[in-house]
Amino acid sequence: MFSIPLLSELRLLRVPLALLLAVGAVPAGSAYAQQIDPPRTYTLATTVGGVFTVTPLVPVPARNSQSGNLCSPGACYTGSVTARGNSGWQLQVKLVPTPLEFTVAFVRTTVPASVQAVNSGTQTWLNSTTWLTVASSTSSSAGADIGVMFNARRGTAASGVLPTGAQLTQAVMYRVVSFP
Amino acid sequence: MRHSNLASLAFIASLLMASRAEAQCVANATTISSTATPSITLCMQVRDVLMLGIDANGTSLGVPSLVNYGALATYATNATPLDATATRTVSVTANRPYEVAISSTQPTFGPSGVNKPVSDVQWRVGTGSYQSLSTTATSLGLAGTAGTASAALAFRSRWAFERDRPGVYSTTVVLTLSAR
Repeated sequence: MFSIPLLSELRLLRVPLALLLAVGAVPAGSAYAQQIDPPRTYTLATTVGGVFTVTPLVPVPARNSQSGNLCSPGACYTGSVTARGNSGWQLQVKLVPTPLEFTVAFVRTTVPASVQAVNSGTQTWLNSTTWLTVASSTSSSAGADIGVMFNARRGTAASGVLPTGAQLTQAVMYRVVSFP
Repeated sequence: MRHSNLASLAFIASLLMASRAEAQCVANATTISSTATPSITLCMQVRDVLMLGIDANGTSLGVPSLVNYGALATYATNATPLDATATRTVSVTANRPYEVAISSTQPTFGPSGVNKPVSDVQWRVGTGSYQSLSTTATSLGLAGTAGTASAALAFRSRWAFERDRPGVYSTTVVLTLSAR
C-alpha cells in the first residue's frame, strides 16, 4: 500500500521531485504543435515607359475663310487634335513628304481662330525633315484638346494648287513625344 | 524511511505519467482470453501540418500601353486591363481544414512622387472573377478540408494618364496560409 507522504517527507525529495515536475511541465508532448508555413511574399513589378498619343492620327483640317497676313496669300486651314501622355509632352508636326503642289506653314496665332483677320502671330514653314513643336505641356494629360492652324500656298511649279483639306491631311504628320 | 520515500516518489511519478498519457491519447486495455484474438492499440498524436507553395517569387505586371491607360476619373472602368506576364500556381498541402488569404504590404506603390493605389492591381484564382488587391487580407477562395490542392493565381492592372508616370512600380503581395 502506498501512503501519501507528509509535507515534511517531501522536503527530502526536493531533487527527484523537481525533476519529475519538470518532466510534467513539458507541454503534453506535441499534442498542440503545428507546422504551418509562414506567409509567402510575392513581388509584382514593372517598369513603365512614356505613353503618348495624338488623336485622330490623321486629322482633317478644314479650309476657312479667314483673312489677314497670316492667311494670305493662300488660305488657312484649322482643325483640332487631342494629345495624351503619362508625363509632360510635346505635340509636333512635319510634312511627309514635302508636296510639290503647295507649301505649308504652321500658324501660331495669338488671336482666337474665330477672328477673321489673323494678323497677329507667326508662321513657321514645315518640311519633311524637322519636327516642329506646336504645343506642349510640362505635366501629364489624359486628353488635351489643341487647335491647330496651317497656311498653305500654291506651289511655284506648274502643277501648283491650293490644297483641299484632304490633301493637306495627306501631307502633314503629327506625333506626341516626351517633354524634354 | 528510505522505503517510504521511494514509494512516495513512485506514486507521484505514476500520477504525472498518467496525466500525460491521457492528454495525448487513450489506449484501452484488451482482455486476452483463450478464444479471443489479442490486439494492441497503437496511439499517437498527429500534429497539424499545413504547407504553402508558389512556383515563383514574382511576376511582371507587363508594360502598359495606350489601351491600358485612361483618364484618372474613368480609367478604373474604361481602361483595358493589362494582364501580368505570367500566371502563378499556388499549392497547399494540409492535414486539416485550411484557407489562404492574400493582401498587400502597402496601400500605394510606384516611383517617387507617385501614389498608385494597390487596388489598381486585381487578382483572381482560376477562372473566378477579379478582385482588387488591398492591405486587408482577403480569402483567396483556395480553401479545403485537407489534402493537396493547387490553383492558378492571375493578376492584372489598370493605369491612369495623370498619375501613373514613367518609372519603376513594385509592390509586395503576401499569401497567408492558416488553419480553419
